[in-house]
Amino acid sequence: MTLIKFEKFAVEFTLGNGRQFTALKGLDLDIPKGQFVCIVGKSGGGKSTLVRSLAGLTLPTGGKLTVDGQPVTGPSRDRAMVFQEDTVFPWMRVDENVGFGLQGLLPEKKRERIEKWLQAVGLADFSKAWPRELSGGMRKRVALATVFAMGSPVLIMDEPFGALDFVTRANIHAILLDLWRASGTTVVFVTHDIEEALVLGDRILVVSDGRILDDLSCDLARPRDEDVLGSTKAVGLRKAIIGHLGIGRQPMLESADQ
Amino acid sequence: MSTTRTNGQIRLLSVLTLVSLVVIWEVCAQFSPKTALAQTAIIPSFTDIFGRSLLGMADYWKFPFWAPNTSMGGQQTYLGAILALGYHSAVTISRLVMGLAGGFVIGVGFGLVTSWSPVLRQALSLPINMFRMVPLLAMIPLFQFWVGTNTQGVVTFVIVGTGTVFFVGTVNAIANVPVKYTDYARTLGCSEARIYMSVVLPAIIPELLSSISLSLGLAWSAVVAGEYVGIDTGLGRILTFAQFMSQTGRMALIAIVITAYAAASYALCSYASRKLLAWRRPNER
Repeated sequence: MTLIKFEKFAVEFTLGNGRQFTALKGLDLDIPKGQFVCIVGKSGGGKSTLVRSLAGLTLPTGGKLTVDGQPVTGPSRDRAMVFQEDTVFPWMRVDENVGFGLQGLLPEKKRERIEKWLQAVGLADFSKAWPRELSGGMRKRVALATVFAMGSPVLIMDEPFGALDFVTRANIHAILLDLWRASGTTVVFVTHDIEEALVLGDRILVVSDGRILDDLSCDLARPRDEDVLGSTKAVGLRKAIIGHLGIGRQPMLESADQ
Repeated sequence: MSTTRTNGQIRLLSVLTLVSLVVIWEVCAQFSPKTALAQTAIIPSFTDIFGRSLLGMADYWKFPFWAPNTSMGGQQTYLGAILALGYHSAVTISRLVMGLAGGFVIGVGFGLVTSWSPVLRQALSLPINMFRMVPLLAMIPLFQFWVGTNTQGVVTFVIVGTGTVFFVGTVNAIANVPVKYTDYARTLGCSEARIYMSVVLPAIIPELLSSISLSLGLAWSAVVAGEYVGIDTGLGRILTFAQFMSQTGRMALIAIVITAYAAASYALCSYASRKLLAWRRPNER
């Protein structure tokens, strides 16, 4: 069942010099409920514009975007987002951050929900800590707990783990996949890291120059350990993505001209 | 260990510098020329400041109880001096607090409203920035005409002076709130009003505290200057009388008292800052 539907979706920006820049060029895309979709591509290719549009933070200049049949006209608690930057509020303690999106709940229910999700991301002992007292990986876990606590049917993630080291990232991938499986949330995850897309995604979209160049099904067995990621299927997917990104084919001068 | 020693050495250096300045002042006082009117030293000695001049403060005790009133033929006493200093200090500080509080409420409130509305922000940008350029002290005579030579006049003067600083500080602080926080709050389902209360307001506190610190200095200058011109109570008024009579020791004493109060108010502001910004790293508070 399709949950997210982009139809001829276009976004144009007016640059500082008055020129128009087309970030998304009439994109068509259907995302079924519960799928983990990874979007990979070069910087400036339209990945972030696509997910910001889904979050309602960027409005289209053409086409249509619906979530569960409803047109997206702005941000909504049905589409929570984890950003590339560190957005955990530094002036709130960890538990206040996690409870920030839980408006309207009775205090007891809210407390229960906060405790449950802090437990789920392994931060139960840090509920009263200030964000400055946590590492970058722990702050990302706070962000994860915050968005999962809200129970949004759609979770948007824009290169959320780009600044983390390899081990921290691997740990947080495991946590994210556990939470995703348990919640049934539909995840749209932007990354510039092909390996990250192969570890996480059910489906990998290669986006470049405002278009979807390829839509790859990534039905590798889970958990995706070294054996799975070294399998012929994974190697094939990796090759296909690298091929689309044009690594080693595009001379620097040609790229600069564009 | 070495950090502690270094801090201790730095503190010792500060104390030595202060002591040296006091000694230099005292030496200069011994060779100071006299004023033409009262034959007082242009640079008063500390013996004069904390002896004769302190005792002379009793002249400003105008009540017929607790201590002798010198204008009714009473003797100068240290009790009278302390009571007079306490009374006039209380009057000045109350004017400062009222002015600062008024300036904060009006400046910050107006800044919040202005930042909410882009049209209002653009409309007020030029006039407010022009108003900031007006030298505050040059406005005192005008304020005396508008509000009167009384407590309300001084308080209004402080409100206008500090309110402008708070307004500009608030507008700038709001403009500097990282968009990532407001975007994040929107995706968490926050209304614009809640974003303002729970995201924008806490985010601007560090910059607001800087404005408070800046306004404190301005408020002390404004309140003393306001009292200096015409009003009959407060530390600024004692300065005026002392100047008329060329009583340099009394002028220096009041300057020292005001410096002590200003330092105490800065210390209070710094303490509040540490408490309110507990969420920041200690070196960022």
